[in-house]
Amino acid sequence: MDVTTPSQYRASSLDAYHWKILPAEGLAWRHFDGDYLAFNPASGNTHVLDVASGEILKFLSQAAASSEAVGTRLAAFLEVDEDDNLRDARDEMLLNLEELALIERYR
Amino acid sequence: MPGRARPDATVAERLRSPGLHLDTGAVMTHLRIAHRGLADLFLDAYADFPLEATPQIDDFRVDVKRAPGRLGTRLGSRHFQADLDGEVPFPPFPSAYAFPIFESALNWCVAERIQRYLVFHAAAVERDGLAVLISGASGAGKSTLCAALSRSGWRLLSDELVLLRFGSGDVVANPRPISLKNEAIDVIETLAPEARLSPRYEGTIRGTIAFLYPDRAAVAARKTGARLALAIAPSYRPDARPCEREMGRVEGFTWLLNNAVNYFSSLRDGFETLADVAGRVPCYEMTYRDLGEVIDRVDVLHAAAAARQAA
Repeated sequence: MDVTTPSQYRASSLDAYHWKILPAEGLAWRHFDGDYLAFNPASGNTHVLDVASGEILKFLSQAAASSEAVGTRLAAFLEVDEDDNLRDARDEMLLNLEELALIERYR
Repeated sequence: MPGRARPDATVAERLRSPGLHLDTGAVMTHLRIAHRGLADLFLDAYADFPLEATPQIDDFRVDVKRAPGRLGTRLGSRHFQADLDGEVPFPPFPSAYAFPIFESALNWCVAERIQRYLVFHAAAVERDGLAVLISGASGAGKSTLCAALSRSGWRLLSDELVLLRFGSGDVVANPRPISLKNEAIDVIETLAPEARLSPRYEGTIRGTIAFLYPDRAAVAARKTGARLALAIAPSYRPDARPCEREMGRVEGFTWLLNNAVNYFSSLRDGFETLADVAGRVPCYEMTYRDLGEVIDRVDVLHAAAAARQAA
C-alpha cells in the first residue's frame, strides 16, 4: 500500500498547476529592508510579505509560471537545493498568496 | 494675551449673511456664522486670513446657526448647530463652547471631504523648504511640539490634519489655530508670551482647551508647501529618559498608514505616495520630557535629513 505523507501530498497536488497574478491591473509593490509591501488594487488591501513570498510575486508579475518553475526560482533566490523542504515552503507561500487573493492557479 | 483690533461691523454682518469665503491655503470654506460671540472670536483668530466676499470655488460650506427645538432654550443657554454641506454631524452645542466646536467642525470637513490629498492625523512645520510631520496618539504631545516649533523659527504648515500631495508627497500648507490642552497652554504662553491665544475653554471632554493662533508669516505663506523630509512620533513623558529610535521603512510605512485618514479610499495613488514617502523620509520615535531638548533634536535630525536630500 502506498503511503502518502502530507508534504508529498501538498507538493504533488500543486505541481499540476500554473500560477498568475490575480488582479488584472497588476500589483503595486515596494521592497524595503528584507520585506515586501504589496498593494492589491482589486481588493484595496495592502500586505506586508516576507522577502521570499515577495520574490514569488515579483517572478509571477513578469509572467505566469508553473509550480515547478516557481520552486526553481525560489531555490535559486534562497541558494538552496530543490528538495522536499523547499517544495513544502513553496507550497505554503503559494497557498498563502492565493488566500490573500494576490495570485490564482490554473491548469 | 495680545489681541487684534475689533473687526469692522460690516464684516461681521456679512459673515452672518450672505457669508464669506475663508482661504486657509489648501482649503476654501464658505462660512456663515449667525452667532455674534463666535463671529467675534473667529474674526480675531483668523484676522490675518483673507475673507473673500466674491464667489469662490469652495471645498465645503459651514453654516453656524441657532439650533431649532427645545435644545435651543434649554437650561437658559442658547444652543447652536453647525450645518456642514447640509449635514449636522455634531449635536447642538452651547454658546460658550462655540469656538472649539467650530474648529472641530472645520477639521471634520477636511477629514471627511478632502480626497484630492492624502490626509494625515498629524501636524507639520517647515524650515528651509523642508517639512517635518509630527504624528501620534492624542495626548502624545504633537500639538504642543508643533506649537513650540512654530514659535522657535519654524513655519506652521498645519495642525491636526496634514495634507500630502499625491505623487510628490509634498506637504500642502493649511495653517489654522493649534489646539492646546491643559498644561500645554501655560507651557506655550511661557515659551512665547507674544503669541496670540484664544480664551480658555474649561470642562471639555479633553479638559481645558485654548487655541494658539498662527502668526502672520505662516498665514502669508499659506500657498507655499514644502518637501517632506522628516517624520516624528513624539511621546511626552516627564519622568522618562529622553530617547529616540529610527523606525525601519516597513514600520514607518505602517505607522504612517495608521495615521492616514483616507488611505483606504485613495487606493493605488495612496499606496504609491505613502510607499515613496516611507522609502525616502526617516521616521523617528522620540520620547521627550523637555521641549527645549526635543526642539534641539528636531533641529539636528532636520539638518541631517536636509543633507541626505541634497545628496
